[in-house]
Parts: sequence; structure tokens; C-alpha cells
Amino acid sequence: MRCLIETQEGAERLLAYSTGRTAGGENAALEQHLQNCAACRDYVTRQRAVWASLDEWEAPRVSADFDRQLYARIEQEVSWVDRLLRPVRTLLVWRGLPVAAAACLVITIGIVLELPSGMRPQPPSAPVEITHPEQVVHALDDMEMLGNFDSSLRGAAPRS
Amino acid sequence: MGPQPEGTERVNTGMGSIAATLDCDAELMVRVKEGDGASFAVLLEKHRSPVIHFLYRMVQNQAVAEELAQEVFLRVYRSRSTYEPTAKFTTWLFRIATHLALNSLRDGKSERYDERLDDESVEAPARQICDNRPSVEAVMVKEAKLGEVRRAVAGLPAKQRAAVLMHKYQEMEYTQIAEALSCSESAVKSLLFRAYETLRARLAHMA
Repeated sequence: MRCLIETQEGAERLLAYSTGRTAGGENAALEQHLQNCAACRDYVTRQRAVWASLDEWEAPRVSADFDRQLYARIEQEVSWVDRLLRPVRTLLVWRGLPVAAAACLVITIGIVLELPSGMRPQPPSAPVEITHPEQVVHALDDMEMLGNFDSSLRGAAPRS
Repeated sequence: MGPQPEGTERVNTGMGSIAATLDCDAELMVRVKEGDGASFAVLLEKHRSPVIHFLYRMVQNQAVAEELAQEVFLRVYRSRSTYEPTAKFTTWLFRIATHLALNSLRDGKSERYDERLDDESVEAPARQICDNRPSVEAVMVKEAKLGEVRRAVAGLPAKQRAAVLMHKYQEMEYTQIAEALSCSESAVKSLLFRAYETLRARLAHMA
């Protein structure tokens, strides 16, 4: 049989065997291989040593007031608002989305309406013509001339 | 997979609902969701020690481990209203714990552990004093060995460390570890093989 540690699948099987996580039928085949393969035997021996070393590493006892501290923190979380909302929590979970969407819509409309006039989009304004001073003088002259012409016409007209 | 508590992400896997159907912890959590505080107490009683021990071995500082464990259970409680039993409860629980431990290690909150590795009196379980207690030499040898084991584990990259601890002490399957670490099953196998290879090299003289 090919040396198991040379393939990933074989190494997986050896690791599982070393850590006692293989089925009985597979154990027999692996043990037969181990009898003839020094490299795999060494692998299993060293892996079992690691496993045994890790077994000796005990974690310390849990603090006596761990639960008390946890429940105190939970109690802090459960504020008066939460207590008030508890009966309708489920409703809020399921209905929350449309309510939030409606609120967003209302807020958006409000913001648009409250925008300062300078920020609102303006309709396009009519083009402004630029008038030069000479044009104004000419216009006044023309008006004076028309006025004189009108009064001379009145003076020349026969009295009825 | 349970709910999506703060700092965790939802992972969809095929194993989900079938495993969860058989998971009595998930049923307890559903009862917590329905407002049954006693079920939360049962879950806490059952998982308190495994979670704290896992976190302790991750950060190697008892105070930090308990602080992180409080946060784990607090997040479980906070997430009760959105909990959906779509995967094994322990997988979800250790996913939260791993996430917090990795964050803590990244932020250096438990850097003090280096100082404590040689100070067993601070962290070690209280020794029983009785007539047939081991000799001083035996205790010293055991503590030296333990120190080496702790240093060897502490020397592993954080993800490898988490994978080894879940594999060794929580006896979790590759798929569960993969979910807890948010990676593929093949990535977990790779993490474990590299980690055990390192440990075999570092602890070879203890064989």
C-alpha cells in the first residue's frame, strides 16, 4: 500500500485515526498499514503525543458571578422602551419595513418642500436685452419729434 | 444558521434545516424567541463552560475570556427576536465566539497573556491539597509541560488556533468549523493540517 501521509486523503485518515475518530472497519485496514509503514507509524505516534499534551491543558474554573454579571447586562438592555414594545415586537419585526419605507417617503417629501428657494430648480427665464445709452437718447429724440408732429397736426386741423 | 447578530454574517449551507430539526438547542432558542427566559438559562448552563474554555484557550487570559463570553451570550440574547433555526445552535454560537476572539486578538486586547504564560498561579485551576498530592517536582514538571503546550498553541496563527481548539475540545466536524470560521471545508482541513504539523514539531520532545 502507498504511504498514507503522501496524499491529503491518506493524511486525513491518519489524523482521524490518531484522534480516535475512525470507524471500526477502517481502523483494521489502517492498523495493518501501520505495521508495515514506519513513516505513518511515526506520524500517528507524534500526533497522539500532541493530542495527549492538549488533553492536559485544563481551562480554569468559571467565575462564580459570571451569570449574575450577564443577567445584569441583559437587564440593562431591556429598557423601559423595550418593555413597552414587547407586546408588539413581533408585529414590528414583520411590519417594520413598510413603516420605515413610508417614513422615508414622508421625510423626503418634507425635505423637498422645505428646500430654500435658491436650491429649488428654477424655470428658464426670458432672455434680457441689453440697451445702450445711445439707443435711449435716440428713442427720446424720436418721442419728442412725434410729440411735436402731433401738436403741429392739431394746430393745423380746422376748428369745427 | 441562526440570526445575524452584530459582527457576524449569515452563511447559507445545505446542511441547515435538517441538522437544526434535530438540534434541541435550536428548539430552546426558539422558545427564548417566544419569550421563555428559562430556556435561555438552560442554554447558558449548557454552553457557558465550553464557550469560556474555548475563549480562554484562544486568548489565554481568563478575564478577557469571560468578558468575551458575556458578549457572546449577550449577542445570542439580543438576536432572539430574529433567530431562525436553520443550522446547529453550537455552530452559530461558536461562530460568534470565534468572531469575537479573532477581533480581540487582532485588537491586542489580550496581549497580556504573554506575561501570564509563566505565571500559572494566576490562571491555573486551583490545586487540590490532600494527602496524596503530587510532589513538588512532579508539579513543576507538569507546569513546565503545560507552559510549553500553551506557548505552542499561542504561537499558531489565530485561525489555525481556532480550528484546532474547535476540533480538539469541541469535537466539531469540519463542516461546523468551516461555518464558524466562514471558510470552506477544504480550507479548514488545510488549517488543521498545518496547525497539527506545527504542534507536532514544537511538542515533539514531549512524546
